[in-house]
Amino acid sequence: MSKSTIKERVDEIISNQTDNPGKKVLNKSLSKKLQENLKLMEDIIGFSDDVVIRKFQLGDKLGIKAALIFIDGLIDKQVINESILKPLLIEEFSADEIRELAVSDIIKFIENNTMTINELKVVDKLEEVINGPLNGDTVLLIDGYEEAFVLNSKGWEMRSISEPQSETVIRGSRDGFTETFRVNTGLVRRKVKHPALRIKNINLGKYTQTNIAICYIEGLTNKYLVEEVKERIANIEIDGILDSGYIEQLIEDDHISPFPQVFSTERPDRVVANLLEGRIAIIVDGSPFALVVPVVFSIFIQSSEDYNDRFIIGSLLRVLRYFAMFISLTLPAFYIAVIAFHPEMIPTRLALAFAGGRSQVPFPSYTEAFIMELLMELLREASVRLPRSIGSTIGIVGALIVGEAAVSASLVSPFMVVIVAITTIASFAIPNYSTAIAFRLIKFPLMILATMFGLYGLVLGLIILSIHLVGLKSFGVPYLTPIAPSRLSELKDVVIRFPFWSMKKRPQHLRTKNEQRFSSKGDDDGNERTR
Amino acid sequence: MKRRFSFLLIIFLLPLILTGCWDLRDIDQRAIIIAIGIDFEKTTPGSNFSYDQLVKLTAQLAIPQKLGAGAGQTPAMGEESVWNVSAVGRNLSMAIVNLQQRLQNEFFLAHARVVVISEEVAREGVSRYINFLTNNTEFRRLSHIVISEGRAEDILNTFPKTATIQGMFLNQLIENEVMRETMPDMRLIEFTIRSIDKGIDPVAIMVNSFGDVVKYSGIAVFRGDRLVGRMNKEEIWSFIQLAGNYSGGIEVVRDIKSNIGRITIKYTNIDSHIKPMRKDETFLFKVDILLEGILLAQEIDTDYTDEALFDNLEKRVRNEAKKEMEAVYYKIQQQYDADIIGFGERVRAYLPAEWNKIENWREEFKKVEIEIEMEVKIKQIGMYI
Amino acid sequence: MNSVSVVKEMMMGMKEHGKLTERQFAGIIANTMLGAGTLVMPRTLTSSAGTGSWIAILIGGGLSLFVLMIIIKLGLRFPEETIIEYGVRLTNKWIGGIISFLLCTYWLMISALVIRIFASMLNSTILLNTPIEVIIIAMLLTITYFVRGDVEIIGRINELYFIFVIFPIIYAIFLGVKEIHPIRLLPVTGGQGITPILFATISSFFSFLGYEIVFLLIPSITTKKLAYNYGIKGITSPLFAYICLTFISVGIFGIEELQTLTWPTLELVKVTPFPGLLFERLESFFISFWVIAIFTTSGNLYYSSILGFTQLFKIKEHKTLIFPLLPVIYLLAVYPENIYKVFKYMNLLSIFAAILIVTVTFFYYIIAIIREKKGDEDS
Repeated sequence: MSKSTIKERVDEIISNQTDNPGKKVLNKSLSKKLQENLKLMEDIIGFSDDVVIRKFQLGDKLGIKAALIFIDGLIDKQVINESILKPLLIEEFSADEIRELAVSDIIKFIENNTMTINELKVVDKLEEVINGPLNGDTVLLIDGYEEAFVLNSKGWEMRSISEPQSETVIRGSRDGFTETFRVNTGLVRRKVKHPALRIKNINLGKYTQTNIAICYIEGLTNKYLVEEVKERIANIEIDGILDSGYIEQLIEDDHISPFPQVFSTERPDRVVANLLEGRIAIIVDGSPFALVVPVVFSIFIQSSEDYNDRFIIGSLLRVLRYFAMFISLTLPAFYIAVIAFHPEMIPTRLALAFAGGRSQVPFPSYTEAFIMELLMELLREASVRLPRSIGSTIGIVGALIVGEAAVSASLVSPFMVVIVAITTIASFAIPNYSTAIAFRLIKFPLMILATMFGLYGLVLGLIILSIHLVGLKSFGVPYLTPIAPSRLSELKDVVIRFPFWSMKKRPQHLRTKNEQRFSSKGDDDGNERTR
Repeated sequence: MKRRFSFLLIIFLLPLILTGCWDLRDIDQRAIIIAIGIDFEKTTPGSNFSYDQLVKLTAQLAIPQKLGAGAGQTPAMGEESVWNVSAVGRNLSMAIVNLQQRLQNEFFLAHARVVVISEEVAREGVSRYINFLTNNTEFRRLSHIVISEGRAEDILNTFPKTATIQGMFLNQLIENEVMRETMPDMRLIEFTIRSIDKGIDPVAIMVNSFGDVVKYSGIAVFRGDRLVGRMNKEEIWSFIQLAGNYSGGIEVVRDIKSNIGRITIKYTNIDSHIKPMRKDETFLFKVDILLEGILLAQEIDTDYTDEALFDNLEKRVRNEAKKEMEAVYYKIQQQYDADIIGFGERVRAYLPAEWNKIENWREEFKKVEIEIEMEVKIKQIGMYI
Repeated sequence: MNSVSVVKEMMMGMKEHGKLTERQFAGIIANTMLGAGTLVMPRTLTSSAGTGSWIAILIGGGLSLFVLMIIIKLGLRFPEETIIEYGVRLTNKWIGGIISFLLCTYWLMISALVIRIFASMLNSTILLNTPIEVIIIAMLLTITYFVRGDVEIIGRINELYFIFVIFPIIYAIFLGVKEIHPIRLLPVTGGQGITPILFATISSFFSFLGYEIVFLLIPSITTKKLAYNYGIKGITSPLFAYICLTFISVGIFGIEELQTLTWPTLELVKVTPFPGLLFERLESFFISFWVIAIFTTSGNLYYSSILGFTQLFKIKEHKTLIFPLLPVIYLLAVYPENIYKVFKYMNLLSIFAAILIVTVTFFYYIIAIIREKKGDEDS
């Protein structure tokens, strides 16, 4: 075959594989002849050297030609050797039995009686035959039959389940999602052992054919929500999905806002907690971050520890986190406003100390603040990329030295270093990375406003920010529920976490069908606790 | 198209507000003033001023460099930490302008805590200076007004040895005394209110300086905004018990048995009520005072377990206190003619119809009578019985 | 995707667009009333009746409450229409149109004046060198961003901000109570007889405006039967706050001094010390909260004005009017030459508006009843 025709055929076949479920696929069927099928397969994927085509004969004396096609690196060799090849090669196919069997019965015989394999599909469409090896399955082609077997032989090196790097807790489970799709869905299944859990697959990405799972609990989740999610995902047309972040950006409501409208987490317990409230989870193959929709702002400040610990501790820690969030956003701007516009606010001794500390600094306070904050952002970005061994040391030492050196060189006043340090530490207290970044970014415009108008500017900036947040929606749910629009029953879980026995209803904004979380045997003041 | 237009409009408006941070002035570019002193200054003969006296303003500036947080530096104290700088002018505003010309940084009055006015100036009338300060938005309404016997700048130039910043020392001194209820709490705002109010007149604390010590020398009595007299320390007790519901501190009474020994009583609580009544052509004020105190020390060991003796003691204290109070009262009324106790307020409050008829309260005040009913209770007697 | 998602949202059971909850309704009323008045009311309300002003405020407040109830009653007769729409239906195109035009213009002017008063205060206290135009523009830009949204956003922001608006007042009240000299509060009835109190009642009624934006809000409320309940809740908090604030200001300063203070509430904050806190002179801090109060007041009024004009001239989207009206409101805000003129215009405008509102309310109400009766007779 000439190269152009091969290329054309490849293109044609690949273009027939669409990434849009529900669209009709042009089916090309297998032929009965093994040789032709093999040729077809070779043309399409046989050019790569990691594709293995193992020809053999069925049975001892039968002489029926067969071939296995798989891709080395994606398969578990043990499975192929023991569960596929061994039974097929060693099994006694006595000539009499076989000849008596009708042609189609041989397939049935092989399917039912020979291979000790856990997952087996009989296919006759070329598309599935091609996708099989690409996903790690093994294809069994038998001469004389236009059907083929796709056998599950997936096995590859994967990262074992470890504690999520980005969300650590003191009390709580330490398993986190990995990059393998089935491991992740398995982690969810292990926590929801109810038949109503649905896991629906979709493949996205023209070249990556990434597996995406939409998980929800039937009967709990609003069915229109499920449809909306499915539709938004189905409408994605893209070359490849490499991370759940791609999906997040393609299904969110407002692209311009710095605030995330989709919640991403590495922890299965948070995913399941949200599923139980009536939300929908999206698991993406290749990414340890699962997505949860729809979200409200308070989710980003929560951590699973709030629920694992007792309610007083959980509430106090959460209040601390809100405070930290506020500080990380406004402290530098507040400093500028107070020092430059309203020094009457600080006690006289402190004011004199500030003035003394700043007396040698050649910059005005806002320049100081900007320089230090930018420096801090630079340090943070750099420390992410440092190799592990020197990363943490350089982080601490760097910060100290830079701060100390800057102060002695009279570049910045010592107070500025303290302020910036507090701001940075506060931003680390925010559990969700995307939200923390959003606040880090927004503090700069607030600093600019504070430089122009002092506290007046800062307040105007906060007003504008809150207007933006109030108008933001995530899949139809206003972002700041339940603060604005306020729903009293949901306020029990926002800043302070009320004890379990008093949070009886699921969040109203999710419009679930089943509003009671649990029925307790006792009355409302929780005299009787549930299991 | 419309969206673009509105977007562009915003972009064009933004530079308008970005062109300057007009009020931005860093803290180290402000001259932080801790205390202010106001004096009179004679013009030098032969100058072409038409006024024969000028106002001298002394401002006590804190020196931040000396006070700042430095590693291993001992902070400056006393004379090194502040700088008293003065200027003269026709009135306070002119003086400030002249003073500003001597300073590198711009005046910042918001941390000023004490205003010292010399007696000379106070006799002429304080309100023109006070008005300037209260009209200024930065100035603390809760700062103290102090009248100095001599020159105000002398007070500001006295540096007690434990004072880090002299103005704060003064401030703390006054506030401590106020807390111990031996001095009236007369802040700027209260002073202003009283100088305007027709029913009550203000007072102020008087100090003078002696070496490196600042001490109280009494209370200045004002009529309106002019200083008309003073009361010394002994008289202050009665006055503030009468007028301000302060317990007044310590009273020393002679012992019952002998004329030599003395007993010291500390007053802890006071409850005083003044009610105005109409009597003939004038008013009668009934004063009901309940004083509670504790026995601090006795010089002669008298056994007060005897109830009769104890009652006697209380009676004695009462008599002495009442006598002093009446004396003080008459002095205020006759000599100074300033209603610093606030009788006028009470007439206005309880007998509004009468108040409306009065043209000039000061005239009425001269004729007013007082009737004092006092009761003294001694609650504790200390460790000795 | 937009209209589809709207349909989806409705199917999902989310609220329909443009709807307010009852708490948001109360919040809007309260926030609109707590505006520029808070800064000057202790002085203006006590100028005639002295220490007896609290009686006047109570009665004046009661009258305002009564008028609000009538407005709600009238609005509930036409539960899906705003006053612009049913006004035209009740009378004819011209009368209804003129009344609506006057109302909307009044809202626009008051919104501008409120911004101007606040900007003047900022200009004389904490932002002394910034040109007042710049202060006004900054606030106007923020308000512009605010009114671009639907009534949902207006409602949510008001609900969210209520606590920030009421906080400084509560704080001032609690701290101020300690500093009261009770003697300055006597005599309780003012000591001048009944005439000044009557006069003060009328003038306080004129100052308690803001609730009339209910004219436009009734159609947007989800549960209409709660309108009375939450209307009362919405109006009582500002009234209560004003009474307490005036009371305490009189107790601390005394009537005479109070009349001399330009910004009495600000002075109140200046003389109430909070011992032991990290920050001392908290009035800059309080002014930040007042920014929010002014923002809600003038934002709500500006929104009402725009909404009214939109309905009057049958324009589709209210967003289109925002930019044309922006220079108008700016010019209105900078027009008065000094602070005395500002107060004077404010007074005149309030008197005019109060008369307008009361007249219009009763006028429409009577016509509505007559029409109803006529309708019964006809059928």
